[in-house]
Amino acid sequence: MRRRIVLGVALTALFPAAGGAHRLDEFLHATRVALEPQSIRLELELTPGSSIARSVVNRIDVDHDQRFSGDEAESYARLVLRDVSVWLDGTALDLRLQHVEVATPEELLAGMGAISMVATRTMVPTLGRHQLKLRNNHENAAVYLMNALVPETDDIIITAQSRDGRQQEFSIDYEVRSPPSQLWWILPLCLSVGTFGARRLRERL
Amino acid sequence: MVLFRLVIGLCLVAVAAHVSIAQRQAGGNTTENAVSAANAFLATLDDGKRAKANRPLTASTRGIWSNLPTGIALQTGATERNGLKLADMTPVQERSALALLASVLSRDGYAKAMQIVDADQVLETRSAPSREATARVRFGRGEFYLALLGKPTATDPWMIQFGGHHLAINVTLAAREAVLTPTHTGSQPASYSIEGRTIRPLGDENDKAFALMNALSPDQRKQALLGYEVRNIVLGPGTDGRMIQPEGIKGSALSDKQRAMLLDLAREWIDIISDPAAVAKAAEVKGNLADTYFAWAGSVTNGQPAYFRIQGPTVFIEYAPQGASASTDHIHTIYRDPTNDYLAKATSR
Repeated sequence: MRRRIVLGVALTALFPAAGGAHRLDEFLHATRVALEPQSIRLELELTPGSSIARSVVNRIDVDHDQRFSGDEAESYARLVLRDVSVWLDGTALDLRLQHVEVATPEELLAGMGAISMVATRTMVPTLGRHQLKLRNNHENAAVYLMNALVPETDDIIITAQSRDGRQQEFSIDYEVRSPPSQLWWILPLCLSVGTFGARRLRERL
Repeated sequence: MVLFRLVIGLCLVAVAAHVSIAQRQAGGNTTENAVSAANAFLATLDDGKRAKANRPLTASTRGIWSNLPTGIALQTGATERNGLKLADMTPVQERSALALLASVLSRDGYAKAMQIVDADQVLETRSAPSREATARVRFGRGEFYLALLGKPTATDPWMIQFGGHHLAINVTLAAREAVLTPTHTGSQPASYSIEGRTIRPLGDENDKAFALMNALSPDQRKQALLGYEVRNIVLGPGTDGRMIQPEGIKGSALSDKQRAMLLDLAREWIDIISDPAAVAKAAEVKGNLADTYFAWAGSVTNGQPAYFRIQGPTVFIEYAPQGASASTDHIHTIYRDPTNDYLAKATSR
């Protein structure tokens, strides 16, 4: 796992949510899904509004020293991921936490800080059509964003996306195709070698 | 007679200056004008301020921009924006900095940027009285930063960044090319008054979008509607290099008039930069309109909160109300080019 950024800033005076500066009573869960040839990667960014951030801060800061340690950040990330369910073609997948960064308590309490994490699952790629389904059950009072990133390879084509009204549940239909460039030179090469070999064998015989 | 000649001479100088400014704002050579303005700005600074204002241009430094106010770590982890903030500039330095910004923006684009700055000053005025003295978050005009990344030249790539809370102007220049993407505009409050005038920094964006949505037929509207809530922009600061799948109604399903409205809406972002970059970009987006998607979430009644997205081969724009119940008084937008953010095409050559 990549090294976490430990943000151990002592809690200072609260910033009041003056003028409705940013989110107040919402807990935004934004998820971006990357389909890669041999893995699935989830990027989650959680932003609690200032009115509810205290409960989130308390859940992270389990020793109540008003600082977030690396272990506390990781524990919270794992707590969140336990509530995120992922299925590939109907089979549940376990996600592995790769990275987590947490803003300071002050930033979270201001309604502007975020908790960011990356989770992955390695897979053996199989050609054909697939469906990836996600459901985020963490914090039912949250608001959700779920989006699929455009794949970085042309071998993966996303054919459809669907979400429920709250974007708490998200499914992606996609197709994994064999890279045509590989077949393009392999096939004629094999035919050429085979033809040459057969001719040589006939000459010998 | 001498006095008459003096007056004529002064008039000619004034006309020449006016023509120069008008020409600068109408196009001319943006990069040369910007280099000149950049060097003029740097010349007003001592060594310490100059080092702060002019940083190297790298993949890391160029990504340091945000919607967040001073006092909150940026999405990339940086604790401060690049450059010098207006509060740390003398009046001469500030005038020079803003002249530099004006050299790369259109007249309307510069006005929009200043309206967003003024909106943040309104927010500061409203919030300061109740703020704890030790709180680190600050709003207001003084917290907007101007930075130069790289050496201002007429040939090699360099950048101008101007930003603060709800504003991140990123202009990358190289030779005769200039791009504005990625750039963030936002506003809170979305509407305020100055000297009896109502200012809505993103009012045209809002109104044109609702006009387009209401110009769609019921069947077209059904295609454009996302069918779910969208409570924030997806590809905001900190998401460089990513792109989401397009959704909504495709331009090929729109009439000529509707496509023209779509382009006119996109030009609220495209035209922030000065000509000829804006003209070139608009032509490029116009050429791809058939493959450009328009997506919508929320009410179709102007005055109610709604999210929309414009996504084509070389343009990505999002507009999203923020906060509780998606307030219409707090808006975030993002403008990107998936193929050429930070003038990637020129810098990769």
